[in-house]
Amino acid sequence: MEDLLEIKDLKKYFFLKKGLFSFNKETIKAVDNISFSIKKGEILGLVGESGSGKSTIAKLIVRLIYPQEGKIFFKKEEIGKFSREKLSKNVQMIFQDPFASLNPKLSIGTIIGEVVRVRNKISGEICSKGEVREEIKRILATVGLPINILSDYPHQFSGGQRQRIGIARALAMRPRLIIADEPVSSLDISIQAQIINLLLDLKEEFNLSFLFIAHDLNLVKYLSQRMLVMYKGKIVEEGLSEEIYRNPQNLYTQQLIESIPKIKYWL
Amino acid sequence: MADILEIKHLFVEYYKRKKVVSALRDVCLNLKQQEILGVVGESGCGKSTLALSILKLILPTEGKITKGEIIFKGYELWEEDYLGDKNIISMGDDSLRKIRGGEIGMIFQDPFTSFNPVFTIGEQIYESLVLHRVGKDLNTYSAIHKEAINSLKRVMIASPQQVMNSYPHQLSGGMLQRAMIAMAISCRPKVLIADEPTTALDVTLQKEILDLLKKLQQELSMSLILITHNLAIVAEICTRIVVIYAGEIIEEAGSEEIFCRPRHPYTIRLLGSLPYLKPEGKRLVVIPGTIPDLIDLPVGCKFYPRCDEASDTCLQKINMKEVNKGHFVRCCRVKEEIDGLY
Repeated sequence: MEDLLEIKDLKKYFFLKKGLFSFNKETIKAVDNISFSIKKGEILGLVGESGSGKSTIAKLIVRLIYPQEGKIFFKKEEIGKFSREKLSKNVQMIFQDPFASLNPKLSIGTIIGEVVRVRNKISGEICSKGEVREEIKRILATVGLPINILSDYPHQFSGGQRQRIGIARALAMRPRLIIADEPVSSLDISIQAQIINLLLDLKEEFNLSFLFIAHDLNLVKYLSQRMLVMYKGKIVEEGLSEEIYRNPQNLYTQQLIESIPKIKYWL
Repeated sequence: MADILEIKHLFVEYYKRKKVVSALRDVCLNLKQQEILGVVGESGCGKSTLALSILKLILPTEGKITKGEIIFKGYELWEEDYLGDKNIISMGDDSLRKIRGGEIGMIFQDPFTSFNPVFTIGEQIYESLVLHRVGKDLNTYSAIHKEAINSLKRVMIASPQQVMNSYPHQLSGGMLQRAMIAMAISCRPKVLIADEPTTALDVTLQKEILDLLKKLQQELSMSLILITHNLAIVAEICTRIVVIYAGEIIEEAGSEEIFCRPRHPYTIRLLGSLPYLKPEGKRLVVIPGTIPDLIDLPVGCKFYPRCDEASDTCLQKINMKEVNKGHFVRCCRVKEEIDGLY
């Protein structure tokens, strides 16, 4: 299948200043020479412990930060040459913490409406206020939220509902690729299942591709056919999820799979 | 084995803006000696409240224990007045101080916020040793120091002296959680309560901490209460499991029984919502809706609004029912249709 996103030799180093007059500089290789690709209509899993550089990759792709070296291609075009609008039209992100990623001062209608208006501006459509409202309601319905919440504010919602709002905001742009950075790790188990099923439904409905970042290997194995294992800024293993899970090659991956708590009664 | 801790008909309420939040209702629980008991539930269902009320740590400004008894049976205690059953709820602060840390230890979720940042780890371990063991078996400074080093060694810290002299911010999360466990076990408690001990840690560290807790529980022959939302952790180390929903215990059984023959509709769906061993393409089981608001609870069965097997009988008061030996369920329909599911 065709590659949607291709990453080539990506590098991102952070420099920490230490000591008197910042004499010593420490380099943190957050992303160190990483290459991979995401195919069309695929969910690519990315696992690793905290501090391994998973979120840095996500931020590099949506260009919230810029790489030192390396290139990212979206449909064979380099992302670095994209305008902000073109990039956000194609790639959207869902964040981990639904409490921190929604502006508390904006109503739900404003949060999603903003995105809808930007999309219309890019595509050159001219929409009336009423049409924008209809569009917002349609998006809310697709993510399973009631449509009468347009004038409500984020604090009025529970964690699961806020995550749905975050997903609705990403969908409003009608992107091709969604970067989901630990979208369920701050949610309860029963709510987690709701969100995971929603993501799978959306993937089928809109033929979306996902980069699914998580630390829960079981979840990644369930969701994605292919996965990457990251450790200290490097990809240590890449392959079919099923295969990696059954027969890990890398020492770190073995350790990671070993340490997943298993329900021994179900084996 | 005899019971070491017994909770009888415990009711806990919080007060929030003049409204009553009923956090725990009619909780009955017993902890046997040298047992690992798992308490599972979603956030906001009262797991942590249960842990706090065992040590009577609920702030009087926020809420209180309105009814019930918590009976702790002290074995081989140093002081005479401890012998026999003690009801923690009716205790004064002085006797409580001897129980807290001394007889019942506690490990909190976030090691970064649970330590005092202005004292070294060593000083904080000394504090509990001085409070609970000076005048009993430790009387010199060197003995206290040795004991502190010993407990750090027990939790597999390679350089105990160095850890003793460091401040909490100088240690990593895993190290700090170990230090907290060391502090909790330094006074040889009979019961250890671990409230989400691994939630803030990575998967690889999680495994290490769980193995450590299990090892210590056997070495020191403690009873362990493990409170968590992660069902897999519970399956790994617990012998008995209690499932809490909206402030009530809804199911209680041996570990294998819960995972292989769950009876309460909530437990059945909760297990179905886990992505473990799910064949690809098969969707996870979803529990619609969210947990009920504890201020405005439904009558009768608290799970009834989210349950697709609910009927009018669910609206009456429902008591725990024994369905198998040692397996209790709070569901009025458990004898009928649900039986056919498994």
